[in-house]
Amino acid sequence: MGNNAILQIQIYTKKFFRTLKRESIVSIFIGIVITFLVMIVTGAKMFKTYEDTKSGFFSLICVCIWIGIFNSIQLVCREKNDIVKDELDKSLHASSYMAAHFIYQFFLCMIQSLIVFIIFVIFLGSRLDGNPLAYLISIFLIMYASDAMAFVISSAVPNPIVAMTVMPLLLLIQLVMAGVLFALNGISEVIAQFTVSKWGMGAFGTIGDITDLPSKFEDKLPPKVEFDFIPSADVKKYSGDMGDIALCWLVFILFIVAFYFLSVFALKMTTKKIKK
Amino acid sequence: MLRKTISTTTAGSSAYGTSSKMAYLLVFSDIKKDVAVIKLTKDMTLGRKIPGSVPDIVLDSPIISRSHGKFTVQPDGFYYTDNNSLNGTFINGILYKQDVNPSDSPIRLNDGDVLRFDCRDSKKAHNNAVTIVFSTSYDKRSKWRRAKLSEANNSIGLSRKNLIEFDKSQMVVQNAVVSTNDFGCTVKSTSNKSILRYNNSVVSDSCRIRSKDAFKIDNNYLFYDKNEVLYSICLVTEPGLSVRLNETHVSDKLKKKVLLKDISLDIDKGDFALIIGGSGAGKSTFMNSILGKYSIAGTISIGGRVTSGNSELTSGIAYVPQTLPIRKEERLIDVVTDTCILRCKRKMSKSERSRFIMDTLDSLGLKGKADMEIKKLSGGEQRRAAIANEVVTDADIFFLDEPDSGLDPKSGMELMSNLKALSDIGKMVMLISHNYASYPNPERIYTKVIILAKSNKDGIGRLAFCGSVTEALEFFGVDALKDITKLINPVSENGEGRADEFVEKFRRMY
Repeated sequence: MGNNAILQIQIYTKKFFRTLKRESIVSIFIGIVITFLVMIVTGAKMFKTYEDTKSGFFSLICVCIWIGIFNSIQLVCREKNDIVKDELDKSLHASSYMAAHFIYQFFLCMIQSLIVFIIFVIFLGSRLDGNPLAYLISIFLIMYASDAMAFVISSAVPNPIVAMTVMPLLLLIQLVMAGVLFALNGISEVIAQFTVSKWGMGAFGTIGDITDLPSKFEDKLPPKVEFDFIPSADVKKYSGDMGDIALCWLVFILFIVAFYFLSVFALKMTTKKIKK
Repeated sequence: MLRKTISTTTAGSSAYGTSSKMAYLLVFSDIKKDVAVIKLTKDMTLGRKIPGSVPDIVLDSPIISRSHGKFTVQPDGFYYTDNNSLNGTFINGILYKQDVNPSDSPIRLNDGDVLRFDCRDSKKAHNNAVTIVFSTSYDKRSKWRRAKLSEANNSIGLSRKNLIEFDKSQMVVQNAVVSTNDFGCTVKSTSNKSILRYNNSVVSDSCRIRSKDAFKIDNNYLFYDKNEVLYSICLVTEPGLSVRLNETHVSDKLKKKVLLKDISLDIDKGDFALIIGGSGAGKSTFMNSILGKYSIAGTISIGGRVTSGNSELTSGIAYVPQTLPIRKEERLIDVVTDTCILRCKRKMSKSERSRFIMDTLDSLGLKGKADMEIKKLSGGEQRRAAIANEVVTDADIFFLDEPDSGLDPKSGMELMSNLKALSDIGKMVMLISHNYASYPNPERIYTKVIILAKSNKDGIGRLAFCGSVTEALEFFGVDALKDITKLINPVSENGEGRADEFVEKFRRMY
């Protein structure tokens, strides 16, 4: 990356700090409201039974993914045709432009994840099990990876209308592939490896060491009966091992790097200078 | 030593490739007088003034016959005919006269040809000899200066140490040395980086110059007489934009669609060119072809460098599209400062940059708006803000796609004045406009008008005219530019559908 590309990153990062300030405040506020709502519903039940804790974590992951996606889903596509294409023609590097966006979103996600974490801790209080810093890092990485994923969509689609049409699909995939609502087998299990939600559940489950929590069905069901929707293998995977948490974080970082390159590629492809 | 490279050809023997250029006659008769610069736009007679007959070019010299010769403008170029005058005419040192070097046909003139009117048998220059240089590359903004030669070697070049000092461009520190002697003077080339020409031939070493002779170093003309040199300083020596477009097309897997065809024109630095044409004539496509946004067949060069595969050249063009490419949430000062830091060619300190930006905003009437968000500016101000955002790049070429769209005539005229000011300082400005009819005296605003027309036969955009506004009106036989679009627009668009006729007429002429 040449000096000019680095200068472009600096200038555009400053530009985004100037221009995105207002809408970022709005998205931070919405993030607070959603986290509150989710924690009101799930917070009281978490860390009591395995199922409720898992549902609570799943809801928290959904909040993080939602906030991350909404941060960036429209940012590139809304100015791609009128502004960015012109700037790319005039020697702006797509990689610098996306890097500046990623830098700005890094700070925004840091603030948002800190707020989500604080609300999470307030609601759980002393019941919170696991390392708080590990929760904070996980919340941040889930949110930032989702943010990066939405950048790929935003860079690839022609306008915000298409982006907002694609977004529910993106959310749906994340919900289904988390392995919480449905058991994952075969191809779905393979696809799940590429979703933020699946690794998010892995991270939270491991930090909270939820395997040791009692099941709310334990007293109500005959012994040795296993249900499809609570597979025994699923329970076993949240080991509480720090190595597993580190693996989840590494996967998030790989996702972010991959999404950066994919978004640069998508932006270049959709703003090609020469009309063939 | 002279290396003869020039050959005179007769009328119709070869095509005159770039005749859309202006031609000038630089008339030198006396070192005490300025060089007379005559624009050759029509047939012109040359001779001595006599009662009852005044030639177009009057040369008050006994060497000149009453009706000495004639310059003619023909579709394929410019020609000179000696009217069997008493002393004849030397063209590049060769005497043309019926009994000496007879020529039945007019002599076609090439850029830099030297016509000398002198005693036919005299080897020494006559005091009343006159020299005329024919030039298609002469820059009308050139300045003329005088230098008195000393007996010692007089150097010519870029540095202030030289007696004859050129201002810029390809000039090296020292290009040539002039030394005076009894015969006249000798000019010796001292650099292989510049070209010395005498009688329109390249001089590789040195040549002897007589009184009233002309010679040329790169793009600068020099006339010698009585130990003095009168020389031109070409303010702009770099070539501008040259378009030789065979075709612009878009294609998908199934078929290729040709959008533009056969466009050949030159725009110089300092030109303010207006592109007009009906809808679908390819005005924006033409601009985008130059910007490298379309696949083309042909050659486009800027400053003598081919743009194809050289995105650095096209990205250096300051382009303001119809949709304003600026973030409207930002303050004007932030937008232009960022652009200046990232794209300005000139190296500047922070204070210089700040001054440059404020001067630019001031010149576009936006100084008081610097701290305002773009979205809070009026439509006209937003357009000027987008232009300011390109001006701060210090680009040499400006393309504007309908910059006056949506502006009232007064604001549009102000904008044209701003853009004209850019071209006045040597920038090339090319714009597409539909509101040109609302501005008075277009010939004072635009130096060139490019007219594109959609063919009735195949729907492809072609060049119907390129030249000055006055020439355009003459070419189309109309009184105002707005009448031209009516002529070339299809009948279905309330036009007369004569596009193909004018395209063909222009093709035949040039």
